[in-house]
Amino acid sequence: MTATTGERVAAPPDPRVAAELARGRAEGGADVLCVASIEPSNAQHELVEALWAYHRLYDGRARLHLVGRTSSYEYARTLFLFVQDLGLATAVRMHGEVSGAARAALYGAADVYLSLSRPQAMSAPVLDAMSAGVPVVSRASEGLGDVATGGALVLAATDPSYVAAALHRVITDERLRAVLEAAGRRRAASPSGNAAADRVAGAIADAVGPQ
Amino acid sequence: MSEAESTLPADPQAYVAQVMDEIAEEVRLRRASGDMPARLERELDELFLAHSPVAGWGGDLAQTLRMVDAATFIDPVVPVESERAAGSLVKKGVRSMMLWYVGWVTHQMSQSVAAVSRALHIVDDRLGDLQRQVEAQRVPPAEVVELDGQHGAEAWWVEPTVAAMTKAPGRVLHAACGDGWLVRLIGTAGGDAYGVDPRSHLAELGTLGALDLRFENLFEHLRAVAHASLGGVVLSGIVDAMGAGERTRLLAALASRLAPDGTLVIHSATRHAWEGDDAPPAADLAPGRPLRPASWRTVLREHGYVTIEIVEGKADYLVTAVWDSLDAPGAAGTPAGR
Repeated sequence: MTATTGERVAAPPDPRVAAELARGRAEGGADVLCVASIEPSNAQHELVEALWAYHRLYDGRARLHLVGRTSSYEYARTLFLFVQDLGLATAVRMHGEVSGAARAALYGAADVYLSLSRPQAMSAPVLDAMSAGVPVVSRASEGLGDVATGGALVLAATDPSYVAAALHRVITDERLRAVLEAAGRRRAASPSGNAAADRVAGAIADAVGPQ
Repeated sequence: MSEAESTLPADPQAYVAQVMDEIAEEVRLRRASGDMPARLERELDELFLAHSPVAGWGGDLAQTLRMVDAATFIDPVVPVESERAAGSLVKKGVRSMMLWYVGWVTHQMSQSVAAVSRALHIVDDRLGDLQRQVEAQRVPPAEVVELDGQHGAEAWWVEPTVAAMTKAPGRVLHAACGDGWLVRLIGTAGGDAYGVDPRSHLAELGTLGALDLRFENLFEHLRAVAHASLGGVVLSGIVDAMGAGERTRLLAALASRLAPDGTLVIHSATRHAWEGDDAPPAADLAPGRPLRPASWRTVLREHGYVTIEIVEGKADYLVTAVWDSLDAPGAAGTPAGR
């Protein structure tokens, strides 16, 4: 049976992954998370650019966690070389496809969820992040609306310095975090939010079969 | 009440709007201070593309077609090597069982790709023929032409231009920006400006500083600018040498990029100054020559500008026009660039 939005993030976190993430957090710096297949339309290279700007302008200890299977090997290879060239090999962690428990640990440790995906901003992982109380920062999209209706901080631009400034604000501004968390939880709990996420997850599960 | 709820502002929506304004202002200040030069951000994209499989090919269609040709045949016989003892045997068995099916699919895919490749070669040949014919009749694009004493902080038209641009409803673009002298003046007066210039020797001077200057052709730049995202545009040394077609194309591009109530400022030499003995050779070689000031009024009205003011100097003049999105013909554009 397919897990629903709440069930996916309520799974017990993988203790091994949680411990590894805790070690990283002990060294300081924020954890930025994105769960999406590695492909051009999900623009992981723009997430890396934003992290680079964040390191340069705010905090060189921040980490970016990219979770998701690789749909385009050429893109993944290019992304890997790009990360190396920018000197972010230790700051960008490409986890690949992970178990539900590992994903729960990642959501639990994330300071902010960042999505610059082009086709569909309101995906199942975005709703999972909202459900887990992780503030969501996202590229503007038709399906997202504003923070009141969409539950995310919607970016007016995606220049690296702009995204970095938005991340910094979300990470350091408690009031903003509270607004985003409340709006996100509301959105994730709304019937339209759950139905959309569960439809996506159900379709994927039906297509690939049981793991 | 939870801890998170206790920190909620009274009007969350208004607070988020305030935060967004503060983020935009911080980015502007960071760029102005040189903490994050715009040049660096652009280089990030270039660095990423340098690793792409098609990097370095430029616009070479023939080379791209060679890659398409090389990828036409799809091999259904998958490799069976394995690090595990029985892995190779298992893979070989699976391959044998699946080959009739995979082979049938890949055969059709290979045929399909070959047909597409053949079609692309035909298109390439015909494009080549067309290119040769067009090349013989080509009107060269206008160069930037600046007459002595008309382009610099001391010129008479600069003060009203800076005043107009500090009130612009958004970012201001200056073309051709040179070393950024006008961008700097607008910034000092409280506006948010950047510049483009196709002349590399001038643009590089400004790029070394904190100003946002780009070594780019104006038309190429406008293609990457989002719809209705510019609050103002200053054209100096740009339109004087343009032919009618290029000028119309530029005005059409600007119409879709200017925000409603955006301001267009055009500085141009007079025809008399353009034909003077001290004008540079580029003026003689240009495909066009400056319009008379009154002609701009007609041209700009046709493109949807409502309020048009013209101030004439001794050897040059200044046109200031406000764009009205409702009256503009063909003003709708699609969002472009990032």
